[in-house]
This record gives sequence, structure tokens and C-alpha cells, in this order.
Amino acid sequence: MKRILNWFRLRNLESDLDRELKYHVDRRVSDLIDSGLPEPEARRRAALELGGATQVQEEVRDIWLTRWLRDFIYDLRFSARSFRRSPSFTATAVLSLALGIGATTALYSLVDQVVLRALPINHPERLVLIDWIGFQNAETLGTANLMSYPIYRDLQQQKEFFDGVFCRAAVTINFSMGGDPKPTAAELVSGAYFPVLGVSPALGRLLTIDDDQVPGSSPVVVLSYDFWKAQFASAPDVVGRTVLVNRHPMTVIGVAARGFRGIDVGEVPSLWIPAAMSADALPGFDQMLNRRVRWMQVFGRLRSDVTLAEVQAGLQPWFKAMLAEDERRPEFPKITPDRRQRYFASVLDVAPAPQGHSPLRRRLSQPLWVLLGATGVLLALACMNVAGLFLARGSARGREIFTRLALGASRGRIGRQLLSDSILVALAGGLLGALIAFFFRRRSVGGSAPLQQLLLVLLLNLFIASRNPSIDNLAHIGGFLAGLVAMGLFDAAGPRNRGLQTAALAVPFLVGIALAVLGVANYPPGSGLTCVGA
Amino acid sequence: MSSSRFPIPQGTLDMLVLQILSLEPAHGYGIAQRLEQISKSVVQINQGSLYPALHRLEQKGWLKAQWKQSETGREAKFYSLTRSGQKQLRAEKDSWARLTGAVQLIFDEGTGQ
Repeated sequence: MKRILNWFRLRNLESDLDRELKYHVDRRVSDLIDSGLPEPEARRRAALELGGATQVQEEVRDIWLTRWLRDFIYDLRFSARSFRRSPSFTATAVLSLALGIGATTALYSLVDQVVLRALPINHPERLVLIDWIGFQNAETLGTANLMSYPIYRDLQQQKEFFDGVFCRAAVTINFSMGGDPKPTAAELVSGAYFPVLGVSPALGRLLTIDDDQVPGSSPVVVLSYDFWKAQFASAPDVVGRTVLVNRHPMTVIGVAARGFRGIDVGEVPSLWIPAAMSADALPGFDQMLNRRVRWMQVFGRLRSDVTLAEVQAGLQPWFKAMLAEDERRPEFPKITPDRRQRYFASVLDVAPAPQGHSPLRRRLSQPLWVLLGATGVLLALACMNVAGLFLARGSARGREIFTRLALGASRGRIGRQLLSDSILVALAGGLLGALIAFFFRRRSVGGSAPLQQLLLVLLLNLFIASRNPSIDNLAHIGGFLAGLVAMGLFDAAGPRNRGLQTAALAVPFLVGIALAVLGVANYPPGSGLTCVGA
Repeated sequence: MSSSRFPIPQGTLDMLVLQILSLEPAHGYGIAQRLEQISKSVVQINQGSLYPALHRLEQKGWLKAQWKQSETGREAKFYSLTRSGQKQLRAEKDSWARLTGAVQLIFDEGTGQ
């Protein structure tokens, strides 16, 4: 550990040792002169006794850093110098890798975000989506896995299967703090939503069961952490303020935990409103207690002592009974015998939902995996490009390597030198790629206008050009394309998810073109190597 | 510079350096002189191996170093023992005593027969 720290203070150590040895020699010389020796003889004797300052320095350096580590540093320095001498080779190799790595990382992070990541809640693996499979004979409001609010209340009574049940619906409301109302994403939730998910407040309190007992009784909202930060500048006194939801005044009672963004990655809510206030949140909607209107998704948290299959089987008797009871209700619409049969053939499905609910995920997960595979192939192409480049460079460096061999360098030593070349390029490419991916991630939370991004890309290109006048035009175009790709990536995961699919599709193609251009640009004409990336 | 002096046994230089520094902090040249005085014409110490030894001991945390004004008025790097250096010295003295004791025992056995 200490040795690794020594890396960073090598210069200090060196000057320190110089001073120390100089002190020793000077003292020895003056002592020897005092004892009657002439100065030249004294100097000779002192140097002899010490056994040569250079040798001592070498020995001490080996103590500071182990031999291989020291050699490695020298190798890296040498690599860096030789890369500086051939900037277009370096730029191509690094950019190829950066593109490959950046695209793969960005796409993986998208896959992770949309498909893989579990919700930041307690035991997400016990969260299940409860869904009615079959004909519900009800009016539909919304998309995917919908049921009525009263069914949620029924399910809440199934305490032998669930630790808790909640329901939710994604809505868009007009939100204002007194000024112009802005369309804002919100989640209408039952009071059990936060307790069942196990989310804690960052400020104030969250909704409880009491907040959704009687329709219209509880005009309160909970803000998301991000929304609180963006719209209220993280004001610590936000609790108790009145905001307008579709012009209805509601009181802010709290802010949800940081990092909790609802249960649908496709529709991140800015605030949560109790389902009891659905008439205000959905203007003209007063069907909360109507069994014949399905508009909410119902989730449950499995008890730890039951399995999914047990719950699925255990719920059916109640479900069948409910179907029969429902049909006897006076408000049950008349249906054809065919539909009636489908109604009674319905089953209640219970499916694990550790990642929450997302129609987006279902729609995108397959194309996303395919795209991830495609970018993986692109990364491989990029690697082959770089490998080809190194091969060409290797044959050009034959003279250097033979000289070193002739001077007595071992094969292993030269191998290590070449390895340090590769490590340096890989590190630079990886860093740049990570940077691209990082900006992509940033974009998926915040975001800037496309024009600004285009400007950024152009500026970056101009900057690179000014640093490296020797860079050729094709590499320039490649750089610009790379910038466009990065831009495309930025755009991919904005709040407008509709664009995502096309943008994500464009990415591999753009990266492919950029790689091909870079590859063509850097192969010396007539080298006999064909471009691998094309 | 008589050739009758024998080279210092391997590994004992560290112990001698620790011992010298346990009396008082000293710079490299001071330690070299002290070694010269103590060993007089008996043991031959290569001054060149002194500095690697000092830096090795410092690296191990048994010595700490500080630039201070020396007796000639010039700044010199003074070494002193750390707490773990003191512990190390005790341990080395101990094992040295056991080793010499054991060797002596074997020699005595040999003369006894």
C-alpha cells in the first residue's frame, strides 16, 4: 500500500535521497580533508566507500517501488510519449474503443434501468402484480392490468396471503403553485401505497390508509424528491403549503424518499395524490367506488410464509365467488351468453413485479436486449479495429523492437512494453466511453435542448482539431459522427419515451458507420489490411 | 582498512541500525561513523548498503525521518525509532540472544566430548 502511495511522490523521494547522499559525501570529504588527505583523493575515497551514488539510488528505488512496478511506470511513460508522437493513431484507437464501450455501457444502463433494476423498496422480490385475466364486463380507463377500486378493497381483506395490497393509476394533472398550471405526471394511489412499498418520507409524512377512506375527504399530496428539488428548490418548509391540482387546492404533507420514483420507469410521477381525491385529479370522474369501471393496477406484498403458487390457487375460490356475486348486482350490465361465459372463465393472476409496473418495459424489453446484443457486436468490431491498428503499428515498429532485443531486452520485457501500450489505450478508451455513457445517464434524468448538444459536439470537434492539426479529415468526420451518436444517445431516454425506440435503433448504425470511417481513415494505404469494421 | 575485518553477517545491519538509533536520533553519516567506531577494526560495513537499509526500515514503519539542522549547521535527514521500531529491536535482540545461545550450546557440546 505504501508502495503505491510512493508512486505519487516519486519526485519528492528522489530529491530527498539526492540531498541525503550529498550530505553524506560532503561530510565524509571534509572529514577526510581534515585528516590530511588532499581534496581530490578525499573525494575519490568517499565515493569509493559509498560504492557509487547511482548504485545506492537504484537500490533505494527498488525499496520504494517493487521492480516490476517501477518498470511498469517507465513503460507507461514511454507508451504515452510514443502515443503523443502519433496522435491520429491514438485518436482512432481511443475513439473506436470509446464508441464501442460508450454505446454498450449506455445501452446496458438503459436495459438495467428499464428491464432489470428492482424498485428501491423493502424486499422488492415479494411485490406482486394482481391481474384479472379475462373479460371484466367493465368500462376501461387507462392501459394494462386494470381493475376497479372496490376489487382492491376486497383484495385488501385477503390477509392470509398478503402483508398488504395497494392500487395505483398513472395520471397527468395540471399543477400550479399559484401561477400558470403545468401538465405534471402524478400517481393516484390508495393509502396503503407507501406503507406496503416500505418507502419512507424525506420530509413530513406520506399517505396512509386514513387518506383514502371517503371520496373527496383528503385533499393532500406527497411530492417526489426530484420534484421537490426542482420546483420547490428543496424548501424545508414545503410541508403545509397549498398547491393547486387542476385548480383544486391541496396541502403538501411530505416528500418521498430520495431515489424513489414511483413504480413505473416509463411514467415517473412528480407527486402522489390519494385515490380518494380521484374526482379532483381526473376532472369529471366520480367512479371510484364503481365496480364496473376498471382504471387502476393492483399490487400486493406476499406474506413471507406463502409461495406465489399457493396465493394464486388460494385466491381463486374467493375470486369465483366474487364473480357470481357481482353478476347478481343490479348495476351489472346485461351481456350475451358468449360474453358471460368468458366472464366466468376469468382467473386472477398473481405475477412477481419486483421492478414495479411498466407497459414500457414489456414493449421494449425484447428490442432492448437485441440492441444490447448488437452493440456488443459493435464493441467486438471496435476491438478488432484497434487490434488491426496495433498490428499495423507493430510491423512499423519492428526496427525499434529489434534494436531493443539487440541491446539485451528480454522478450518478456518487450512484451510488457507492448502490454502497457494496450493498457494505456484501453484505459483512455474506457474513460472516454464511460464519459459518453455518463452523459447519457445524466440525460435520462435532466436534459438539454438538441441545439445545445449539437453546439457541444461541434465545439468538441473544433477543440480536438486545434489540439491536433495533423488529424486527417476522415478522422474528423468520424469524430463528428461520434458526437452525433452521443447526442442520439442523450436523446434516447428523455421523458418522451416514444422516441426511444427509434433513437436506440439509430445508435448502433451510427456507431458502426463511425467505426468504419475511423478504420478506413487510419489504415495506411497499401498496407494490405482490410478494414474490419466495415 | 585491514583485510582481517570480516563482512557483517547478513541481516544484522538492520538490527545494528535500530540499536544505534535507539540511543538517539541520528543522520545517515552519523550512523555510519557510529558503526565505524563501535565495530572498529572488527566488522566491515559497506557504507553503500546503509542507505538502502535506512529506507527499508523507514518503509516498514520502524523508523521515521525528519530534516533538521545538524551539528555543522547544514540540514540533514535525521532518523529516529518509532514505537514499532522499538518493539522490533527488542524482538531482534531476543532472537539474536537465542540464536547465539543455541550456537554456543552446540559449540560447548562439541568441546565437551
